[in-house]
Amino acid sequence: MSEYEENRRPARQDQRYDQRYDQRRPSRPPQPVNETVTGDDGEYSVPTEFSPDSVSRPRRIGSNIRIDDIDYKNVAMLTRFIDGRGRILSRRKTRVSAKVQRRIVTAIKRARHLALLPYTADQSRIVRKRR
Amino acid sequence: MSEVTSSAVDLHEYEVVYVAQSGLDEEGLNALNGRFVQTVTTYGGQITATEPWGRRNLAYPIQKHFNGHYMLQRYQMPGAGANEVERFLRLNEDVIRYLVIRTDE
Repeated sequence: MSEYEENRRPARQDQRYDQRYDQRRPSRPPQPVNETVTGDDGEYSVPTEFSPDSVSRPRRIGSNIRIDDIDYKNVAMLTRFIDGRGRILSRRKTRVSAKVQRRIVTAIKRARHLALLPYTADQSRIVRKRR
Repeated sequence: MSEVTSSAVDLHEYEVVYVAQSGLDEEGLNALNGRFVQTVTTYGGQITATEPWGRRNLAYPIQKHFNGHYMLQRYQMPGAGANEVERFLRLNEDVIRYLVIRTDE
């Protein structure tokens, strides 16, 4: 092994390490935000309207959930925890802790009661047909 | 009977969202909200925030309504009056859906 190679090796390894590190830590995907409205007494946010097309395919979706964000009014966030038929995803799919999953389930059920989210796919089909 | 030790009654914080039926006009909405605020204040409550979300599409039809006027109110009130507020929302025919939750727990 030449002197040249010996000197090169650590540098190359570092570079490769950086690449792998970047792959493991992808940048945080953009978060859907509720619409902000200025009312008589300050600003507040209005939940985004549910649309069946915004339900995406789940893949370790719960990894960047903050516990304070879990709220029945946060429709954009809750939409990530239901599948195309409006069913609540299991912990096996969401990969969140039991504590977080419990709060998400409560929030989804409250949002359903207020018709912010659908109970079944059938319901969103009826509504979509009407529009 | 337990003795009342101080004038300060235990106040709880509540958050309520109600959905008014889509047929109501501006005037009817104001009247409805006025009666709601009156109910809260009658039973010793105080409104802390009012957030009208406006007219929104429902995720599923309720009583054949496809959209409704959403209104969020936060208020503080002694626990004794909380049932009366729910009673008002339950019996009012313009309110097609409501949700009352304690936010200080």
